[in-house]
Amino acid sequence: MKILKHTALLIALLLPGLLLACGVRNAYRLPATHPPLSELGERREYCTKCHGFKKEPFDFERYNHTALFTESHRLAAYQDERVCALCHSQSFCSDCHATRVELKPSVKNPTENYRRMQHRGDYLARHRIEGRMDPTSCFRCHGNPKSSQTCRPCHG
Amino acid sequence: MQSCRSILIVVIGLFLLAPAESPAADLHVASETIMRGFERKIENGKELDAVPVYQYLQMDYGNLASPGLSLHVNGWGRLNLGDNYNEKGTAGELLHAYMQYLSTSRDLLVRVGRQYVFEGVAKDSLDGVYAKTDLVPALTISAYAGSPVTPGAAEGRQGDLILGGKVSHSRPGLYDLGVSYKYLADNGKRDEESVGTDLTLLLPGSVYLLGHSAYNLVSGGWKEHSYELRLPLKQFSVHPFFQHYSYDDYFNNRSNSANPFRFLKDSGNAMTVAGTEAFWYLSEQQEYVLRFKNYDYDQRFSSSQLYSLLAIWKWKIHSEVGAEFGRMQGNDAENSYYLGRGYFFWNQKPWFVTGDLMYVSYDKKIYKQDSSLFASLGGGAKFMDDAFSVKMSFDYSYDPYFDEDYRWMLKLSVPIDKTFDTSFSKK
Repeated sequence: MKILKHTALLIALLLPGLLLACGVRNAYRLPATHPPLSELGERREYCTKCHGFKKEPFDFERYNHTALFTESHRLAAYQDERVCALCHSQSFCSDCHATRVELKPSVKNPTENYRRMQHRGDYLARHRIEGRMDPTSCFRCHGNPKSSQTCRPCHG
Repeated sequence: MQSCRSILIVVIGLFLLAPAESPAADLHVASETIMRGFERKIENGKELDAVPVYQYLQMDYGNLASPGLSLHVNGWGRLNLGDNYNEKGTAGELLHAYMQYLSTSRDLLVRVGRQYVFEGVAKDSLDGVYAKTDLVPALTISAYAGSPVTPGAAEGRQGDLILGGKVSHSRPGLYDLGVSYKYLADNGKRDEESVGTDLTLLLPGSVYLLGHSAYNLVSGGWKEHSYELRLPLKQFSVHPFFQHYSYDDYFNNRSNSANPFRFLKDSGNAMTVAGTEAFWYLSEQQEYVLRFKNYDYDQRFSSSQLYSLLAIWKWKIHSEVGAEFGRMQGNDAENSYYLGRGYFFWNQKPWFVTGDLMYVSYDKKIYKQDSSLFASLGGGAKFMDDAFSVKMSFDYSYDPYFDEDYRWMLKLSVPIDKTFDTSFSKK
């Protein structure tokens, strides 16, 4: 019964979209992959370096990897994860987003200091403060039972 | 571990049975072997030498750069060579193992197996099916269903279910709007049920509004509203943002989660974060970033502020020097600190050198220490036409938890890329 209810809810979500789509043609399709980054030369972290600021057929400006992109990429990534997947495999994202990894990203990749990976340095002491200030930022990654294994030895 | 093996067998079996679309198949294997060394002091004051070795293995096979079928596997394992570390002598996890199909017109994407689904309110790992289609122009529809990996195997996986999807409508140059839904049950009990929206709205003057809202159907309240404007002003780009979280609706008090989250779930608190990130692109080589965040709470704390200034000088890709100064001005001394950081990355193919120095001064002592220092020196090189690479790093720190801490890490990476002719093997 529950599955029927959820299926009905999904269909209810899909129908308005189908109606909205009527009359629109020639929508752009993302390619399967992006050319290898190593072939793109300097300053490749800014999509607009090659793609410009054109809004059509696809707007890449949102995905420019600014200096704070590691900390604030989620709103851009929510738009369509396939844009991330053009350059990054699930394995790349798993360094941070996996359900369970023992090595925090800055420990797994200690030499890649330009990426501003989370929890660099003495985070054990700083997390007492930042966790009190903004516990939602902890929960986003450590909120499920598997990933909270990092927290439980001390916090229970 | 048995479920991981079953997932692998099913996914590889499906892949072998599927008809080949292309006469060539690409193979990409990435092996990372990481050895770490550090001291641990345990409860009775005894010092242990931990030397854990991690093996990460990623394998992708099939039509990797073109539409068609492909197989993707990734996992890690750990073995302790020194004293015991993290309770168990060994550990590991199958992070993903899925078969993917991308149609020739790139209108349809299907994944079967263990995978990470990232769709609006869903950021979950599941064993199941995921499909995404653009068959109707301007409209993207995705749906997924399976058994969630996250609840853990302690109570078994019977009755565990995750399902949901997302509908997005796009008008290039105007907006992208998505509505997503997620349902998650643990042992037949409804654990999470959420709907959410994702928005990109392009305003006059190339101004963007990006946003995300999520509603908790279990508690009947808004979990989160996060919105950000992006204002381009010649060499500047200014990103003011606003976020609001209701703790009762955002956190979850399921029994096998961590204590602080269960406590916060019923705290009745709410947090509003507002601030700005400002980027100044002085030249191709120089960037300056100013960040300000103000935290406000309905209960418990008075407001707090975070200020940071970041300067980056780049002379070529991945060769840069950066400096950062930050201040967390908490509601009292216990929640306040100054942070300073400097780093460099010097890439001189085939080798590179890196350095990192971070100093934090706490307004109130933590375990009788009012500061911490972290220093890291690293380097590496690629050999035999990039056939493998070696990276090393040495870290030193003193902080409230460790008086004098020395750590080292050695990483060996081996990427293999091959293309096979499969026209005879799959007909």
